[in-house]
Amino acid sequence: MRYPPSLLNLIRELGKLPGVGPKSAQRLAFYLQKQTSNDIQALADAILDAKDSLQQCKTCFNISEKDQCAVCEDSLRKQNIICVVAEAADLLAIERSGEYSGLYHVLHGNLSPMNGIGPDQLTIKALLTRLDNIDEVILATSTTVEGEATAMYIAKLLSEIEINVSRIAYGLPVGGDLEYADEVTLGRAISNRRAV
Amino acid sequence: MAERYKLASGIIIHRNSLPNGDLLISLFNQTGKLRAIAKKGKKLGGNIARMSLFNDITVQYYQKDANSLAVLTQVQLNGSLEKLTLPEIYPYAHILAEMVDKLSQNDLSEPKIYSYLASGLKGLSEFADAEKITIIYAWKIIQQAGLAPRLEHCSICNKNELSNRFNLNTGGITCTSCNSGVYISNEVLEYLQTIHKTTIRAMLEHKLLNSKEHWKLLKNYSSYHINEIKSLASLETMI
Repeated sequence: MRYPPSLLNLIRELGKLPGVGPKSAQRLAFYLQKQTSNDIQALADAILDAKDSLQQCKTCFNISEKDQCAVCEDSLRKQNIICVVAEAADLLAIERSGEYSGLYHVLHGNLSPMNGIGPDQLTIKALLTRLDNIDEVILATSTTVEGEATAMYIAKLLSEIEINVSRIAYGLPVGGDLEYADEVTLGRAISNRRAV
Repeated sequence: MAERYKLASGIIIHRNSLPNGDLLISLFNQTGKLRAIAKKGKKLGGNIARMSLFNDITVQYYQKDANSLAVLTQVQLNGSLEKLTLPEIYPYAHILAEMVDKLSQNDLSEPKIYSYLASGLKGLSEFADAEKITIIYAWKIIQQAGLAPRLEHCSICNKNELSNRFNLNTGGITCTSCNSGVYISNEVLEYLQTIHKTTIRAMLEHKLLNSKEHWKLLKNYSSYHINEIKSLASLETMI
């Protein structure tokens, strides 16, 4: 037996979502089919509403519902320090740590020439225009080759300006055992050790 | 019964993060290219540090049959070249890796191309002139893939009286009578002829002149005969 075209279409659309394979898409489609019209309408409205109202902050390129995101609008945050992250999700991860209270700048990716992502595809130029009255820039891109190269590229650009540039620390995850750490992480932890 | 768990070593030439936390990698070695998925490979504490771009690794993988995607089960690091992340080297390493990725096929033995990639990346991390190393290795890789330009005789009529016109369509230099294609200077022509005739070690002694013209020719030639090499475009903005 073939699925009705409308059900097949729903499975196909759900299957386009990240992490949703054909079987999960089928399961979700059957689940949705059993829900009330009101619940389905609420889900559809939430998706459309998020799509319509979310935009990039004009200053830091974080996700926001207004021209300025909540971080940029908050005058209680330190205004002389910027933390550069690759994605808005990284910003949220740092916010969850509760250790940082400065400003952010979201690059929206890392340099990856083979994928056609060069400096012009990121928000690096906008970062360079935000540096008046800034004392420190923290480069918090990921520690992948792409993230590392992006951090080094920005550090090179900033070396021409009198500004402190720092990189987030490399090392072991808190609570981790040394014997289970991979050799690259452990090597970095040793070479970037600090005095106590 | 066929063994489903296999071992492979090679250099990571492409790495793609999927939104669900999986990593898709392309591993290149003497026997060709292996595309494999590392389930939840982005998770910290696992093998993520070993699976960085340009790393030389050995993997154990599970593959149900030849048509299915290999699933990584274990990863061991053989070596990594940290200097490749330097801004003055990084785009050049991408050019070599992307070129190999676009020229190589799954399960097609290409030991010489692998050797060029490995020594090219090592050369980039050890020598000062990244531009020269990349141009030499890129043309050597193209030559090894069987796509070398014709530089000794006219690519249209096979005559010997060569002009300064390079015809992308016929894949080489043309003679004074055919005289078609883009202009290339004598320095670039001689340099290319030498690359295709001599060893890399000997080639490193030759001075690279007119580098802009070299990049333009490499970009146009690879776009026509291989595919668009996206990394070449980033040279203008990153270097």
